[in-house]
Amino acid sequence: MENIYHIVNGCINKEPKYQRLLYDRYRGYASKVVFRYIYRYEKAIDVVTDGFVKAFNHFDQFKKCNDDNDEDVEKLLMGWLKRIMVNCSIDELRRSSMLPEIGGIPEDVWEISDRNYDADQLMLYKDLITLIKELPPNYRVVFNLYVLDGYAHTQIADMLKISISTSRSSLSRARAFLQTLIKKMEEEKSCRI
Amino acid sequence: MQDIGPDMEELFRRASEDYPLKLGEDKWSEISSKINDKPISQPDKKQPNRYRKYYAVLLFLLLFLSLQLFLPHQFYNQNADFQKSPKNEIRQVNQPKKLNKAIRYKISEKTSSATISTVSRNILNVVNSPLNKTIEQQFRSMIAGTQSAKIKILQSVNQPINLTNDVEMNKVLDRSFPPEIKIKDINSIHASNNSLSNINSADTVSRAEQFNSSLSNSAEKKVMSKTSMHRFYYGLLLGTQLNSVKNQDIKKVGFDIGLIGGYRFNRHISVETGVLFSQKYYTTAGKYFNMKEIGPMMPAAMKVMEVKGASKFVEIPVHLRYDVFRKKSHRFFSSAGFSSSVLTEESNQYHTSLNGTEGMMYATYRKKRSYFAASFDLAIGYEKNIGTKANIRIQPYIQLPVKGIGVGNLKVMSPGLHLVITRSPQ
Repeated sequence: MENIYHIVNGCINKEPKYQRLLYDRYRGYASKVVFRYIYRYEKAIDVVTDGFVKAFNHFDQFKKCNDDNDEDVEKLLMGWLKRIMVNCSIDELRRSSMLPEIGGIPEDVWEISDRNYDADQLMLYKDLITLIKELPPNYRVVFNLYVLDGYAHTQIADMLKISISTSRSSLSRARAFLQTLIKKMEEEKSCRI
Repeated sequence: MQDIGPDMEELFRRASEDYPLKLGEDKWSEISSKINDKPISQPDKKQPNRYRKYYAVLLFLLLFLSLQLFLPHQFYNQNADFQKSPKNEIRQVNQPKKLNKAIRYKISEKTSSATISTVSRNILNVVNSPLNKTIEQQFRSMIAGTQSAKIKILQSVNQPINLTNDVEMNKVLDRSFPPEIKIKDINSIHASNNSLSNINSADTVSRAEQFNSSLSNSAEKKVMSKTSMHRFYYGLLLGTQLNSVKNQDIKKVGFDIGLIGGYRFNRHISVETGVLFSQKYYTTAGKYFNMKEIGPMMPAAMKVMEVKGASKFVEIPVHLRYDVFRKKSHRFFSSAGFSSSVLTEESNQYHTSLNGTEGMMYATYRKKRSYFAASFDLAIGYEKNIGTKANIRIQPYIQLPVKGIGVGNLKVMSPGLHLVITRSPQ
């Protein structure tokens, strides 16, 4: 397995072999980031593609550590990739004017099999992500950015071109919305039992 | 029930990292074809104009300013002259207020032609006030103003009018009205004017009243109706409307309510604007609903069969009104203009079909959208006076769409009926 440091250097030098390696290694990670923001799976995959193109075209802007510690480089790279994917997702949402999405998420986008030893855990995670995706786009973006990706309200306000107070209120509304959705989900489960 | 507290957020965080998402289609070939190209630049999305909402206000202000420019200058000048001869001093001579208005109007009326009777009336108006000297000067400057006025004054004092030279004419005028001229002399001058010959009584009020009675009936009516015509007015508007897209069925009646304001240029033409809140309900077949915006939000195979929409708007109309038939107590009018609108909320109910399965979906869009001159409005109406200052009017109208509105870019036509109560501030 190639060392991450070499992969990064290869990508900086625009070597297709290393670019392909990086894509294969982080495609899943990038998809998971984007799919939290973008409702439709097909659209999310398109955004991931655009994000990788952007990353490869601007790889010279990635500032790796001077030491050769692979873990640090990987963390930095994942953070950098995440930022690109988040920005691409926000751009895509902005292009669609943050309109609420219609229709459900098809079951075939999830990868859960009975063989998984932690299938219950994965089902729970899937349900939680579905809940996030059911939030209206503007609340979903703020919730994702603040709670899951660790951005501050000032950064969110800057990224979304909204005021800090709007960011705060969107977050509290997202939380309230999620609470309602969780309650609803629990009721549905208890009915099934 | 768990609150979305730190523990729950931690659970969400773990879920976001480990949730079971299928690894999508390998798009490496697409990426590799693009990465050697120029860096992808996002298409320059046109930045929404933050100041668009102020355009309507700006338009109104421009309209108001242009109105100031187009109004006859004499109106302002004469009004200004009149205001220069202080109100208080006119009041001192105890002239009835209404009469003052009548005289004021007469003075302001077409002074460029400066008929001898108007000049004489101006003299009458000022002759008995305590500021006689000032008024004499005003009179002097007035008669020095236009050649026709000079000729007529010369005629009235039996001077030869074959003086073509302006300087000579002024000299004659100076001789006729020397600085030490007495009020009595001026009175004797305009005594030659038949229409005003009987106005030389001692008491100002009685003389003014005599003057008032000497006006012909038609002129009097004209003056009075003119004085009762207030230029600014404002009012409350209520209405219902039937909204339809491409003449399809109307299933629910919309309404609007708001405040309007108007400015009357003259007896026939006025301009009106206002702020209206309106609620529109419409139903349309899916084929008229533009899927450009919401298409990406829907599954690919989903088709929209029908859309029922309910939208809230803030509308700013700017209308030009023309009084076609006008009587003292009532009038018929027509008006035309454009309405700009801000869509504040749109709720759509979609009747959809996905692989043969029909279903209903609901979506509410709260993003504000502004439409400048979104509709062309036409109206006719009947207006009746209520007392001296208020009017009530009933006004059938039609709003013809210029632009599509909402996520579906629907062209909603709105015929309706407005009931408006207006009042003049004066």
